[in-house]
Amino acid sequence: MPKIRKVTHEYAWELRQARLDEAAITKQPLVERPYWYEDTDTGKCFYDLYGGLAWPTEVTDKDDGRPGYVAIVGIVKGQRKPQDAAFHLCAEAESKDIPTLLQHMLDLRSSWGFGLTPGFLQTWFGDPERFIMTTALLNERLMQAGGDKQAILIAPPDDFYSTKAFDHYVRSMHSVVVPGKVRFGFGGNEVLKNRLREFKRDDPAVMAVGGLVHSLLSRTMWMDQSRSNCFNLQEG
Amino acid sequence: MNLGAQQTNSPDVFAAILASKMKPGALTAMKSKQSYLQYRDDPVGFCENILGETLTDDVVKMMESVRDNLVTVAVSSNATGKSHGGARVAVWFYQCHEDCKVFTAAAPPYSNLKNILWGEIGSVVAKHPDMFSSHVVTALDIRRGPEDFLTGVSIPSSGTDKEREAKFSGKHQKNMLFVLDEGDAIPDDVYAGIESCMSGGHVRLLIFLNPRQAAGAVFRMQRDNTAHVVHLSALRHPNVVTGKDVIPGAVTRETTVRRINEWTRPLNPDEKIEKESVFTVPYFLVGATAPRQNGGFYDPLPARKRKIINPAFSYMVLGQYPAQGTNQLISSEWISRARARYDIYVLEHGEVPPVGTSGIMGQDCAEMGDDLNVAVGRYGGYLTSFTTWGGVDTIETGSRAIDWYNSHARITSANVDATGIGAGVAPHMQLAGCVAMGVKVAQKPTIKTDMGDFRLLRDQLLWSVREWLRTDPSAMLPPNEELLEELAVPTYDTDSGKIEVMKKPDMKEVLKRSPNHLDALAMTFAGGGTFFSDCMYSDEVADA
Repeated sequence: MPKIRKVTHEYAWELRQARLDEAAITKQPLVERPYWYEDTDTGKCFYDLYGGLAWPTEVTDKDDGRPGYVAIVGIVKGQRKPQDAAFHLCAEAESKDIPTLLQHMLDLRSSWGFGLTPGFLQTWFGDPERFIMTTALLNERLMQAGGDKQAILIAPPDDFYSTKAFDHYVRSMHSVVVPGKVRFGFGGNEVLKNRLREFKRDDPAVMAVGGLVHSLLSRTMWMDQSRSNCFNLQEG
Repeated sequence: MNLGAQQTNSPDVFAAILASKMKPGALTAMKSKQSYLQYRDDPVGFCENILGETLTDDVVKMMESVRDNLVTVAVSSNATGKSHGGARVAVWFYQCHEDCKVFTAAAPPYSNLKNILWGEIGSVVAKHPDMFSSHVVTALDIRRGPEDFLTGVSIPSSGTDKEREAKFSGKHQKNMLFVLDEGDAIPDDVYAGIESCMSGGHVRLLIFLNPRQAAGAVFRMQRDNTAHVVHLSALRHPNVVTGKDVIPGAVTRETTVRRINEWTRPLNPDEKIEKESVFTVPYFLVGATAPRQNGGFYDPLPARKRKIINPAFSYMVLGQYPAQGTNQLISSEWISRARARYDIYVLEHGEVPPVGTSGIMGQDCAEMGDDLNVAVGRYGGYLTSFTTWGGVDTIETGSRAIDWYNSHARITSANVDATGIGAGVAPHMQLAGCVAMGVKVAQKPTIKTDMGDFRLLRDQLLWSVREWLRTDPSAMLPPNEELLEELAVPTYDTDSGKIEVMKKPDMKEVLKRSPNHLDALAMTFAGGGTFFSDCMYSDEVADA
């Protein structure tokens, strides 16, 4: 049973249209959605929730590798302006074992409202090119049992293919936990805190959440574009 | 006693008859015993009149102090006759007190006791065989009876602190004397054992030492005025004062002058330095010279002040603790200031961390043997009391660390010594939901200073403790004797081009234990210099 429910404004269409109009007049590029999600346990509201994944690091003769990591981050709907909303680490899990890590991922998305809206928590940010076979086999099973929409989709975070990807991600992560500008709550989860304090290069936890935060900061994905299609033409 | 039918009214006749009935030598022993007992309150008279020794003024003061004071600490320079005097004190106490036990001991190795202190006692026995004719004399033991003896007790360099304490506890007699040579190197547990024996009777404790380091149980006795201190200085020794070989084998004027030339330098008139580092050439050494070890002679000593440039001069010539060197890691002044701040803070606020501060837990994990786990929390400048435990495995240590973490308010993270046996503690704490980081002090340092790089992370952490005490006006130190002692020990050098703090084995050598409290405190400074070390790890973000 998911702990998340979707809340839609009573006059959702009208509200959205009004916001779009206001954005057009004020030339704002982004508008708030007329729906959001509520954590039924805590009452905390989120504009949206996103999943991040990082695979375990390589095993060598000198190092048994760091465990893979999955996490769900919510964009908190509070008193802040929507575009400056805080991030909240809702849940996290780690494992050195790929099937176990994927199972953690399935458990997390299921308890945090997977499927409440089309595509909600279906696409996770992570490296889509590792462990393809294991993921494909799992997806085959999931789709046989529940249809195409049950498949796990993994998409690369922004700048993932840059050689400086980790550098970008840690800087983005740092920018939301730096004193005076704190924008990231750990929600009582300790794994990421420990990993940040230890701070080792290419740490999966830092990579997963850092990549997610970097993408969120780059694209403000929890808000809609005020001019979202090519038919929105300039007047005059 | 049946003396037969003879007339015994006359005392002389009675004495003659009694003497004829006694075993040969017994009368001599009885007479000498009577004569020794009169020296019960006169150790100097006993040594001069009975033993025929020549004593220096300092040794006389030491002997009189043993007679008059419960605890005497003889702080001595080299070759001033401390072991010689100590052996005579032991013999005096044994011979001049009835029903007495005299225990002698010296810091390990065992040869210190056997060759030095008991070498001197052996020379007294050899020189005065009549004095011990009715006694059973064996190696390191002289006794008149089962409860009436002078004996040597070895101090094991291995074993637990309880075992060492037990070796010196439970000793009681009407008259009792403990003589400890090289007392600065004797483990604290031995003093704890002796303390338990000093509850009743006529008990005396005499400790000799060369004051190499201001640390340990004997230093604390001096600092806290719980012992009468006598100084045996080479500069007051008759050989040095007169320039003649008054007491053969003792320190000579030549050696002293050579050390003055090698270990001190003339003081610049404009130079301002601590008075403990200044030495004034005494009048009897002005103009004195001595041969150089590589041939030739030193120039005659001028009458002026000199700066001590080698700490060995303080403890080998002056018989006093060396002043803190310029390469002392943490100055005693910073320690005193931080101690005073703590007392003032506690007086006003009680033993609670400052409001609004969050804490970092530091834990030093015990190695094998009788080492201890130590945990402490640092809330900005405030330190919690230190919690210690030992004798448990890694899992139990981890569990106790978790309890400590959870029982202290506003602790946000823990830095745990992960070297060796402690490697499993931080992961154990993480599983329990603690923010814990294993710190391997042998790893590369994470920051640099203006003075240069650190050799290891350990050097960086100890340096951070120094900088905290030096520069943070809120730094406070609780009244923890072990911590204060450990803070005063380390020195540092930059000879290798990198900042290197005194190695742990060297600190253990000075302290006679591991510097666990300092290590735990240093752990609270770990994590600095990493990319996220200055970040906030809030569970919830406040609405802007």
